[in-house]
Formats: sequence, structure tokens, C-alpha cells
Amino acid sequence: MATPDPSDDALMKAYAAGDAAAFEQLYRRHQAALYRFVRRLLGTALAAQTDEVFQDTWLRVVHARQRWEPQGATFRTWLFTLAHHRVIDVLRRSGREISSDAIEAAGEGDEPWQPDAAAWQHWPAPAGAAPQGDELAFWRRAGEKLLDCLEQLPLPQRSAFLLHHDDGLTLDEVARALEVGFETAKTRLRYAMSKLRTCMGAYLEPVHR
Amino acid sequence: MSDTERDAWLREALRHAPDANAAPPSDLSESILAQARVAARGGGAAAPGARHRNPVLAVWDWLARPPVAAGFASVMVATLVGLMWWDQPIDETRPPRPEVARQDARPADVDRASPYVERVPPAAPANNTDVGEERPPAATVPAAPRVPGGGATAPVPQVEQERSKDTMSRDDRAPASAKLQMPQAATPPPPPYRATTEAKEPQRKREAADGSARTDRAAPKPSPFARSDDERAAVAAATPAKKMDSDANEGKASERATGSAAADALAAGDAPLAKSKSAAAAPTAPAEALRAEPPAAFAGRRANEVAQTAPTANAESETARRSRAAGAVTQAPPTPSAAPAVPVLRDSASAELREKQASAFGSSRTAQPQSDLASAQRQGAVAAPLAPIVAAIASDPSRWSRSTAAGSVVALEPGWRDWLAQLEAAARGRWQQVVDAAGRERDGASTLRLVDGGRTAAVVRLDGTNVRVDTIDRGERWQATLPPAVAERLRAAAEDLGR
Repeated sequence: MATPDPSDDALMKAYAAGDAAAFEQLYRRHQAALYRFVRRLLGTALAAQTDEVFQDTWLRVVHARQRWEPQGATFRTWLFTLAHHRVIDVLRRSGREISSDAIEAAGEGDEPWQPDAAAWQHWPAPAGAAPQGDELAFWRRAGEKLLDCLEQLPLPQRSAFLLHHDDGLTLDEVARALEVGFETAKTRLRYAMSKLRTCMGAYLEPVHR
Repeated sequence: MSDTERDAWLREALRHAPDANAAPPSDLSESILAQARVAARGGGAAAPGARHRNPVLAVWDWLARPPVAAGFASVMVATLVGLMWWDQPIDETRPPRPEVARQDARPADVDRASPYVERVPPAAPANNTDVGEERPPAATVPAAPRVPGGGATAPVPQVEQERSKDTMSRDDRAPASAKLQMPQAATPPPPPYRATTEAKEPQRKREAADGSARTDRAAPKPSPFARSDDERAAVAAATPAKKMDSDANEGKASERATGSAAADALAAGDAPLAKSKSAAAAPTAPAEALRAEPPAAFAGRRANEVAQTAPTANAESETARRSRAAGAVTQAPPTPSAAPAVPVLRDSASAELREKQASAFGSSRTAQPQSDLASAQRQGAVAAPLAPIVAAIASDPSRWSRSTAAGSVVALEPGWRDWLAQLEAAARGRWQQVVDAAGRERDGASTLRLVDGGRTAAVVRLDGTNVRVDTIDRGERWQATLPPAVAERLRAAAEDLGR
């Protein structure tokens, strides 16, 4: 009977105590998701900065190993928080950041446009584990379109969507990672989903026709 | 179709996005892991939270925070500044010097001796003419009392004599030891406003002596004299004058406030005279004794009076002068027991005279430089005409300068001051007053023209073995014959200084 993998917190404590292997295990566990999160958060325009942000995030983990304490948040949440901060720094340097308050204020109370429900009927069932043939090609195109739609979202909404739907964080963890309130995180996620539905519904319209 | 179903489709699309399998480059991963290993080897021994369990490290971490560190640094700077200024009062708030404190210890004397001085306008200009009009010329009226140790005489105002007798009676009641220490304590104390002036004046001169004089002064930075034995002797010769002046200051002499302390003492009787003589033989007084200065206008008036009365008064005997002083202006008996005359004098002193004297006493300090020299010369001119000059120079070197042969005025170098001190020491006891006009200056004679406050005060000429001193203020001329070796040494030194 194999021993269960140690938790992130235990690995981090072991690494803080000098166990380099614990860090390697942590790295392998989160490196892909973090790299993807950073890349999608930066978008295609700043994709070249992905490696820099990714490396800097992990180095921050290395340097903060002595001070780190799991004060209610998981290591994964803390890791994505660090990455999010670094992305904000890069966006600020590039002048691409848009005030989250302005975006949310503009969309507050306005129900985003919803595509016709019939358009979604033509999508293949998402439950397929290993789509083949045309179905796979469809999802790949859908994925490309989704990335395009994702780049149109403001950073706060994009972050909330990625953390929740891509990295699997709960809403509470999303709120912790983004350092906002639960309702704020929920609102951001709701607006992000609404905009993505609209964006993807427009993509589906030609197919529907 | 619900949003939940749509969101499942969105997640599926996200899972099939082109970057779904994106991973960091291997070299980047290796770099990160390498740095993590290095960090683990370097500082990974401590367990997480160990620093916080150590209270010292916890405090250190707390101090390392920028806000805390900034606040701590501000407190440290404030503490440092506070320590630097700790127990350092402002100049104006410094306590008076000891002699001033002693003067202040007798407020009753001050109030009684100079009741009118406090009403004096502080910036009243000197008016020598007015005061002079109150006194008859020395040739037509009985001479004023003579200073015990000096050749100069000065008429004494009625009020001064009145105060002198008043204070004499107090002095007679004083212990004998006090009389010895304060030979001229019979003179009234200076008015209160003089105390504050004296409190600042020694400090100003001490700063000048310490080399902290202002740079705008033309004189070189005064430096403490490294005197030889001869030089100390020269200064000691000047000591009686200093001592008398000092005693006059310490004993609340009326020289500052009302006039000549010595003249008052003489007018009062023999007892002060004996005290003054004992003061002349007293040990060297501190240099600060000369730093207290009389009121400028009165000192200037005193200098003029000395110049007017000196030629005739010097030929008179001490007894004749004393008796004449007793019967002159004030008609006061020369004994301390002449108390009955006091009310008469008070009654006879007119308000007009008091006003004029008050205006003279409260004059500005523009004539103060001359007052130092005049006061010193007045008291030390009989036996040593150079002594008061040397003492006055020593008290405030920055004020003195010399006139060169080319006519320009340069600061009086310390070397010349030492030379004067040596000359005074060598010529001590050899002085003779001469009445002829200034002799012609021969080739090879060394001449030093001393300028005090822009005005030539004295001319010292060393011609062969003869040394001659002409005091411009008093119009006196003194001559002494030095030993040839000493004269040659001084002449050589003068030549070196004159180059």
C-alpha cells in the first residue's frame, strides 16, 4: 500500500527545514498549472514574459520559505497569489492594466447579452474523455476561440475565471488568491462567465447556421 | 440550457486549448530547482517558525520592517540631537560670571548707590562737553583727587563723592579680610544693567582669546601668550592697574557707573587709599579683571579729563592733591566719618547736574575702546606707562593695530605684543617723565605706533638704549634708559618684527 503524497504544506515545511527534494516535489506538482495560469493571464501580447514571471514566482517561494506559514490558505492559493501579483506588476510596466473597479462599475447592474440557447445545442457533449476526429478538432477550435475571448476579459475577471475553472480553486480560495472579498470574487466570476458565454455564443453562431 | 451546462462546455474548451499542455522550459525548471537547492543548503537548517520562536530574532524581524525601522531611526536621531544639546543653555540664559554674581549679591547697595542710573536712557550719546562744563579747569580750580597708583587725576562729580562717602561708611563696617580682597570696595556697586553687560563682555573677549573671533576682524587670531619669565614680569607690572580696575569692578566701583573709583576712594579718605596701595602691591590679577569695561561715554570723558589734568597734577604732592580734593568741588572732609556732608551734598546736587550725568553714564558704547586704554593708563602711568597699554592690548588684542612706516595700518601681531611686554619689563622702574616735545627720530630707531580703534594711541620708540613712550591720549611722554644688552636685543627683535 503506497503512502499518500504529502500535502503542499508539509512539503513546504520540509523545504523550509532544508529538504530540497520537498521543493522539487512541490515544483512538479504545480509547475504546469502555474505556467499555464501565468501564460493565459498575460495573454499573447505578453507571452514572452511568461518565463520571467514564472521563474520569479518560484524564486519568491524559495526566498519566503522561512516566513511562510499556512495561515488559513493553502500553498496552492498562496502560489497563485504570488503569480498574480507578478503578472500585475508586468502589466503595469507595460501599461496594459485596466482598473478593475472601472470595469466592474461599468458592468454593474447590466445583464450581459446571452446568446441564443439553441446555438449551444450543436456543441458536442463535454463529457467525452478522449474526443476523437471531428469532435477533437471542434474542441481545439473552441479552445482557441476561448483563449481569444479570455484575452478580452479584464484582468480581475480573467483571474477569477482561470483560478476557478482551470486551476480548480473554490470561490473562497479565489477570493483569497485575489485578496478580495468572497462576493467580489463571485461577482467577477459571474461577469467573466457571462462575457465568455457571449463571446463563445457568437463563435457558435456560424456553426449553427 | 442552463449556465451550468454552458460552463461545462467552456471548461471543456479550455481543456482543449492550444496551451493546455504548456510547460516551462526544462532549462528554466533546472534553474529554478538549482536555486532552490542552493537556498536549502544555505539557510534551510532552521525550521519554519524557529525565528519567531526566538524572541530576540522575533524582535529583530520586527525591527527590520521598514515602518518600524524608520520610526526607530527617527527616535534615535531625536535622542542624539537631544544629547548633543543636553545641558547647553543658550548664551542669553547663561548665569552671570562669579564676579557679576558677587555684585548681584548686594542689590541693596546697588539700589542705594545708584538710584538714578536705572532711569538713564540706554542709548544716550556721550556728551563730554556737558560734563566738562560742570567742572572748572584744572588750572583754575583745586585739583581733583588723584588716583593712588597713577599720575592722572580727575575731578569728581558731587554725586560720585557723595556715593563714595556713602559706600565708605559701609566699607568701614565690612570685615578686614573683605577690605583686603576688595581695596576699592568703598566705591558704590555698578548699576544692575552693567551686570548683564559684564556677563556678556568677558564671554565675548574669551571667545576672541580662544581664536573664535569673527573672521571679519582685521586683527590676527589672538593666541595665548607663551610668556617667558621676563614677559610674565612685564605683565605683573601691569597687574596693579589691572587689579585696581578689577577691584573697581568687583567692588561695584563707580568708575563704570558714575566715574573714577580711585578718585572717589581718595575723596573719601585715607582708608581707601591704603587699600588701593595694597591693591597695587597685590599679586597678579586675572586677565578677566581688565575685561570689564566702564560705560563708554564716561570713560571717554574720563580720558579727556585725564589729558587735561595730568600735566599739572603730576607735579603735586599726594598730600596736597588729597587736601585739595577734600576742599574742592564737593568740600567734603577727607575722612570716612564725614557723613554729615552727605545730606548737604545731596541737597546741593541739582537735578540738572544729575540729568547730565545720567545721560553721560547711559551713553552708547562707541567710545568703549578708548575707555579701556584710558582707564588702564590712568592707573598705571606713574610707574609704568607701558603697563596699561600692554594690559589693554592683552585684554582685547583684536582691537589694536599698528601703523607702519608707509602709513598703512595693520593688525598688531602677537610678536609685537610680546615685544611690548618685554620692553615694559626691561624698563620697569626706569621711567622718567619728560616735558619736552617729541624728539627727532634718528636713523636706526625702532618705532611702534599703536593704533587703538583707528586712532593712534601711543608711540613707542626705541632709540639706542633709550626708550620713549608718547601717550597720545594724555599727552604724556616718558623715557627710560635700558641696559645696552637689553636694548640691543629689543632693537633686533623690533627689526625682525618690522620686516
